[in-house]
Amino acid sequence: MSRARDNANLSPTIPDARMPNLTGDVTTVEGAVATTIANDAVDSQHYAAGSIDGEHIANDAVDSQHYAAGSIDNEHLADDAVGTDELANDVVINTSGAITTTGTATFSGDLVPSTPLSHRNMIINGAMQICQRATTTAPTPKGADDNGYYMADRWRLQSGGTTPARYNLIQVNSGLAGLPKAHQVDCTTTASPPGSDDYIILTQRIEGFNLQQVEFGYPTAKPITLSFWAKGTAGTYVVELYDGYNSLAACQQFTVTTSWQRFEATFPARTSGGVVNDASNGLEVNFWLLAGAAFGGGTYAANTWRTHTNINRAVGISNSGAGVAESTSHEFFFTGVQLELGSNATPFEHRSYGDELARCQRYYWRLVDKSESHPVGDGHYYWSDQIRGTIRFPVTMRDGPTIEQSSVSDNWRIYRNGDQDRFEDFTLRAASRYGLSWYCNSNVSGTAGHAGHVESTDGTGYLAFNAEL
Amino acid sequence: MTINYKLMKEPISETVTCIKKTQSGTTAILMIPLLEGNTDYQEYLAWVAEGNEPEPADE
Repeated sequence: MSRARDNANLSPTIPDARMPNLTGDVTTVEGAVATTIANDAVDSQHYAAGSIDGEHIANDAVDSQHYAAGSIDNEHLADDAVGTDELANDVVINTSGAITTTGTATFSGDLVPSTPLSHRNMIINGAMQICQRATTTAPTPKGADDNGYYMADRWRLQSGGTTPARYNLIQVNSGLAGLPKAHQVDCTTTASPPGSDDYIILTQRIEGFNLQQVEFGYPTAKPITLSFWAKGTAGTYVVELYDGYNSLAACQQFTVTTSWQRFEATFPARTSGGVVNDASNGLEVNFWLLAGAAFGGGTYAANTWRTHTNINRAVGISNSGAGVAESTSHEFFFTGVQLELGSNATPFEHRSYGDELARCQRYYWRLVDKSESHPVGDGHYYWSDQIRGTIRFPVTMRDGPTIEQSSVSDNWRIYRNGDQDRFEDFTLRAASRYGLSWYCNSNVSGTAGHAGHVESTDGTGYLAFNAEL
Repeated sequence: MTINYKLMKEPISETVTCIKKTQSGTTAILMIPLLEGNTDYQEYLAWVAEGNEPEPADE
């Protein structure tokens, strides 16, 4: 008898709804039944609900050899069918994809992430909240040869070449939920087309000590992801990571519109070229807003570490490189800047205002900001024509700082012995990361040994300490 | 923009303890420590390396 005839004869002899009789009556021999039951011949119409249960299936009888890959999916599992009772201890969910749930995830054990949950953001003042120096550079816009910190803390303007372009840097209300402040660059003088060696960059320099988690230079090096919000006059700009120690750079173009967008750029792990482990400039995040041909005339390679070559640093900026300097009506806004480990941008890490301010004060501390009778500290007459004093910093600074002060006649005074003595400036005697000592031997007169307290007078000057990168 | 550096001699020790920086276009006065990690001092050294000379300290 042929196998085809077996199949033809067998199927009709099993009446509907008689499957329960098969229990105990049919001896299954491995392979024998499988070849004599047609596909789909035994379906839910041929066995009573519940008749094939744990009592009728031997342990391990149904394993991966008895079902097709993918056949047990969500459609074949009732809600909550696979619970903790059905899963062995230490079960591993092996997936290379993302796991997403709209419910709440609860872990009774430890959560061990590959990237940190806190202190993720290597950028300081990414939300543009801290502006110790000023909230605007108006009415004196900045431009060529203005290299320094003028507005938001930690954000440095780098400008060079022969460009006549000028900008006001302004802290503005963003209108973004959770990120109320933004950094505006508002063009006041154009440079279109720009000179070949012209450039305008807004930079944050990251201290080497704060970069060690990237593990660059080791086999375990990790990718890093930069994210930020930006908008402005429609145009393309370039954001760059620049490592001066290793002379390496990687860049990414981004195109803004007049509406806020969040941009993300992941830069690959680098197993060569370690990050310097000290208080110097370990990595720069550069937002290129203008680049002449000397910086934008080369070839573009997105998110790729390359040997630093000026001509490749900012390729593709709109308006032949003039960018935001193409017209005085042009402007650029950005905020929410975050640089973190891993290949994914996480939500912006909000830190407390005090925490963010303290981080900024490691690099710059403005003790007196054009306020009248603002205390500086104690002082004394070492000689009759020389006063001295010391100042302790609120946080340990990156290095011994520069004293930065306004040149205002009689801006300071020392109250001593029932009177005051006015003077113009503080001269540095010695500086460390923790504090400094100062003296003044110009136009002061008193009695050696007398002490007093030092403060500002009319509120037009300022006193600050600068240890920026 | 004109930059001027002046050496500042501390009267007790009679040694230069900082460098005073002024520049046109700003009223800011900087008193720069002689510390290698200070970026203002690094800029001063670069300025000197270009062949410039600071104003000597008052005697």
